[in-house]
Amino acid sequence: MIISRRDLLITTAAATGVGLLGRSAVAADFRAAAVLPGSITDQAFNQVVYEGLIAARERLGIEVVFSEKVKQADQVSAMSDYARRGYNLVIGAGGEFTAAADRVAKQFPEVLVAVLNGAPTEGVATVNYNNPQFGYILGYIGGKMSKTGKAGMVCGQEIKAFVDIADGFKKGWAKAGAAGDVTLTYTNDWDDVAKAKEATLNLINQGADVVVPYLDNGIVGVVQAAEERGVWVSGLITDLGKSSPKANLASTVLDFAAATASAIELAKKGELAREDYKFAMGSDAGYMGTINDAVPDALKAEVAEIVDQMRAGTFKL
Amino acid sequence: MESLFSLQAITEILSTSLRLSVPLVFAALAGVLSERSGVFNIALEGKILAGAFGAAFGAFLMEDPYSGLVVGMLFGMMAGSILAVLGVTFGVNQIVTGIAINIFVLGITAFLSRIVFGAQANTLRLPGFKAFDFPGLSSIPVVGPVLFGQDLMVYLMFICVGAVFLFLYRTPWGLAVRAVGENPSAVDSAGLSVTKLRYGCVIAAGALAALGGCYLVLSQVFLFSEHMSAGKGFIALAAVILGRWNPVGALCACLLFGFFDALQLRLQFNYQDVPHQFFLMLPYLISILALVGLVGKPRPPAAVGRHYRREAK
Repeated sequence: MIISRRDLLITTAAATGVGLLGRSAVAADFRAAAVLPGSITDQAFNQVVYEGLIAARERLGIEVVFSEKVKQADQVSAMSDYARRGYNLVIGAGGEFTAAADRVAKQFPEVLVAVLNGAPTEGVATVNYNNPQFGYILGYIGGKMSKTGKAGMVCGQEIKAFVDIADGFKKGWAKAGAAGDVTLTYTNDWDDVAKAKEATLNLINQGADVVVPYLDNGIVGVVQAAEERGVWVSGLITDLGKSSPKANLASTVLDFAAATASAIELAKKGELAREDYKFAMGSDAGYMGTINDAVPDALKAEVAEIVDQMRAGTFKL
Repeated sequence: MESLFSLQAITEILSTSLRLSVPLVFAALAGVLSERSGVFNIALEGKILAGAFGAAFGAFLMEDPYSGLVVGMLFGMMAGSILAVLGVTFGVNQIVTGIAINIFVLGITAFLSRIVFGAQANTLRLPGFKAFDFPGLSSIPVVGPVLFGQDLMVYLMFICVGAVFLFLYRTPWGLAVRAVGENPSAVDSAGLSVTKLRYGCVIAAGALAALGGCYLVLSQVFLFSEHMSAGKGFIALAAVILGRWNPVGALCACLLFGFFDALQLRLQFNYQDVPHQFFLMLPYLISILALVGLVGKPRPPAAVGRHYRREAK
């Protein structure tokens, strides 16, 4: 109880604070609000979504407000608070908001509720990536480059987006001819850096030489473990090649900034329907990031070809 | 797949257990000290976080882990002082004060970290403590690498457990602290200051809990990230109760939590078919079982959480 009360207090304080600020700054008819699970400086998902919100605010000249660090227990209250206050679009940033979004959408039918990375839900707009494709690419490169044939993926909680990515990764891994398994580990906390690091060290001790984080702040723990032990790390959301060029094998960029901004833009035009949107690999909102120089050119060319097929929609997993 | 019972696997699990336990142990020691003197310490979580931020701040400015350690402890003592002033002097409800401190520290460290570290917060690599081997001892199988191949702060942790234990049970001051937690008016009538004793304990507890945060930053991840305490303070609180308000008991309880946390990470790896939620709840399941089955009814210090006023009866 203590935790949830504390978080509720933070949420309400943040929501009111930001709400007031936003209101005084811009006056417009269309208003959008987003609820974020983590901190906007996590160098990962939350930060990227935040950048998208800011981009949408500037480009469209509309009021866009947000609450950060909203915990599971407070999702519904935070989202319905925005809905009650008359925001036209309420975004839950992350698949873990799907259940909350469903409830809020039923409670406030006049408000458009969207979930980034959410499982397709009736009455809710879900903005997604063709996740298996992104996993497949990284799995394929990893499988070709791995010496031990084992890979490990570290995630916070079991959400649909990650499960899909992991499935794609496993297919790519097998297709590349790697002998060993892909192991999934959940830390149950998107921010716990120390635990993410220990979980990764554990995977490396078991022979994994390609590790893939799917976390918020915890991502740095995975990258550090990989750097210390000299194994490859592959990023899915942000381009790890920019922050840790040596350990980064290959990263895809899920540009949630672009995805978020375009979702808000569509909603403003009244074109965002309550259905599932999927960005393909190779689109504006999701593309290949840095590939390490150690990857042979032949493999790079092969990857480029697969990405082209994915963009064209001709690729079959 | 490697067996769960190989020597190698056991060594790895135990090393991970120890590393996951260290922040808990420091925080739990702080909890023991503070609650023994009669002050509830819900603020452990905030103090860990304050210590973590202080450690990062100090190490960042001076480029030296020892400065980080000192600054971290100072930040923890500041958080402790708030609890002391509000809880001991003004008699504000200690639980409410503790929660307030937790919220305050969560906000202020996030705010300050954005000012101090800015965008590089998550890519920074601060100077920290390196693990070193005790020659000879570290080559003993299993025990060697686990106990004698760690860094300075792990050894400091064991020293602190011993020091708090000796302080509480073998010194006149320790007797006074235990007495003030049980019956403050008796201590008062014996001519000792209840306020001074409690202030001392709560502020020292701030420094101890902060060491837990220092460990996260200076030995484990070498950077500060927001909310990196991630609930460890609350687990430490449970360890205080499980350990019967005794430093050695708290140590054992924290090691138990750490062990099952390390084990569940490993079990997730070895048994991919079993739902991972089952393993994730393991540490908590064990603590409930231990609380119910092993140690009987807990008896907290009699005066804990009660504001002492000389005239009130």
